[in-house]
Amino acid sequence: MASDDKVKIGIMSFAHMHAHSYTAYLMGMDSVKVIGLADDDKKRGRAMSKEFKIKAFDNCKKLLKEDIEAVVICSENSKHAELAIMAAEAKKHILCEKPISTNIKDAQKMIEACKKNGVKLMLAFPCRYLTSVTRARRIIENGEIGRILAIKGTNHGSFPGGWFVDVKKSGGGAVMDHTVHVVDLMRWILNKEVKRVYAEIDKSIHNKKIDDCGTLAFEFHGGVIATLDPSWSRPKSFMTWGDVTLDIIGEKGVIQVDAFAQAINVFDDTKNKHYWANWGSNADTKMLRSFVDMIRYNKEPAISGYDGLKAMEVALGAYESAKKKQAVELPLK
Amino acid sequence: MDRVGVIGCGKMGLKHMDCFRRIPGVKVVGVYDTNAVKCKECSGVKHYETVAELFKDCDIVDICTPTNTHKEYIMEGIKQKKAVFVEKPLCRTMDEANEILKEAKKKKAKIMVGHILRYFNQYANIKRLVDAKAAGKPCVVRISRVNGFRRGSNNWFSSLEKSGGVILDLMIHDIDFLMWCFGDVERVYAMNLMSKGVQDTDYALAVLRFKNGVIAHLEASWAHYSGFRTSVEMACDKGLISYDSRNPNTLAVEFAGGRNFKDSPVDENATLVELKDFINYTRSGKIPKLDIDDAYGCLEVSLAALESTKTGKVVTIKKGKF
Repeated sequence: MASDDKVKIGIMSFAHMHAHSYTAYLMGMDSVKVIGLADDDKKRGRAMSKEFKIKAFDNCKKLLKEDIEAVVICSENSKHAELAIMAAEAKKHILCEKPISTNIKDAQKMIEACKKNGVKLMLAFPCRYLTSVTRARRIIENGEIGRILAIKGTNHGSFPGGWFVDVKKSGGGAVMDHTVHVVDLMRWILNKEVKRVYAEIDKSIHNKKIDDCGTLAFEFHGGVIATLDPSWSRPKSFMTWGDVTLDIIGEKGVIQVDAFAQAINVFDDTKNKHYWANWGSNADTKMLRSFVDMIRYNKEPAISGYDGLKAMEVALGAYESAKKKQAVELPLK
Repeated sequence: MDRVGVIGCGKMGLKHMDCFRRIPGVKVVGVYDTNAVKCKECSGVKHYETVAELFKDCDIVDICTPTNTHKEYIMEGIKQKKAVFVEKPLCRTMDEANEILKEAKKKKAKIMVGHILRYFNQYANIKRLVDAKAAGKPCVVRISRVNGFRRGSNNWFSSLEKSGGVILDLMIHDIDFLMWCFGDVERVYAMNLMSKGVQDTDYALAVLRFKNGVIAHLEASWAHYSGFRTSVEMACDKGLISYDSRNPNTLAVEFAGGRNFKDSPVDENATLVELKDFINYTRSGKIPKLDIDDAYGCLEVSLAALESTKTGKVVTIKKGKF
């Protein structure tokens, strides 16, 4: 493909580790040219610039002045809004890491800025591209297990450390980090919004200043009941980082998704560790392909800013519920 | 010789009868069932036409009837100074439970409720690991018990009034197990299908907060089609404990023609061990692995969960113990 026809993309911040894999996958696409990056952590920016052989700009403003059509935002959650609005005003399409932001007002401003400036905002929910998930959704759409009655979900993880455990930068711990993926899947499968959320939340596993475990229970409009465990509860000795699971109870059948169970067992004496090597298909590349195609073919984003907002709202509702020790009705007032 | 009379000839009644017969010094004198046809299907024992006649001939009554009928048989047992074994749950409502406890304490009656998990090797060993702080302090617990739907006599399970649905039938086992491990419950939030009017099946999800801080997620299902399955996961501050009944198959057999089965056999038949513990209690007075207060507390939490499904609100456990 001629260089001029390629979709030119800039990376705004490598604070979130996904920036690394996103950049690698984007650079592997024939239809994409990654122009450069900007990172407020200069050292990290230089290291990434060297690794990917792309230009590191002094700041985001300079990156946005370049001839680029789109940006990928992988900053700390609390900076999503500022960067996204800046990018929107510079008329760049946006792929924003989840969660969309740390509060409803910021999310609304982001969506508004994109609308006003005629640019597209897509949220990075790669779980929608997991093969087991897309297959399950197709089985449900075909009516093969009848009406959906209940969903039991988990998105367990390990303790991430870094800015993830600084509430000012992340907006919240395990509940903020791991509620949005699975709630997004449930919304996508059911085509319904959460009506009521209840949560028990604690920081008892790691005893840091931020929530690290809990369990959410919610009900969707239309009556589907659901729960979700977003805990950072996989110990260091565990075989893998965590999981995404969905047990979907239908009137005529039950579907169980264990999206990261495609594993080869490795027993490594040098690390005294048993771990899983995943052999599943890559969901990130499909998500990035969708983002690039959105730009090339002028399509609507597969996962909108509104999707990002509604998923985050459930996490915020969970925090409010845990604080009040009672169920909370959505949307939040 | 201890003479046992079994009331109710359903699945549990038959199972108990088989086990009681294997305990030395115990004799099953006979059975009674409101359905005479069902009664006659039990072989090798006398069939009583009235429960009063059965009471006359036994020292111990074993109540294996639909949940909403437990109370009247228990009260009759106490009145007639019989030792009483009753399949879980103790009874259907807290009013009934209060009446039973009051009378049982007054008369010093020996009553045991069949919360059998405490007698299963795997659950007893999980409890041992928890007590030994094998992975540190438990923080978030997930426990599950799923099965297909059984109709029972006159489809009594599908009546919320009679059975209490899957919460009072299956989830109550795990509630008892968790209370055995972690003590009293602070509050409960639960959702189910039966309270929403779904027929001939039930599925329930509950979140418990224990007084010791543990958060527990419970799943109980009659909506799973591939048979009985249970699991436990305890995420702790120094590691994780997990058990899944699907995985430890120490025995797998496949026959030409496609029939196959998997099993994980143990020497101890949990029902037999449970009933032996009960018989020992009736003979020596040694309190079994769970006493009536445990069963009362477990019922209170289970009914609180059921209440939560109806109101959509969290229920704080007030009483704790009778």
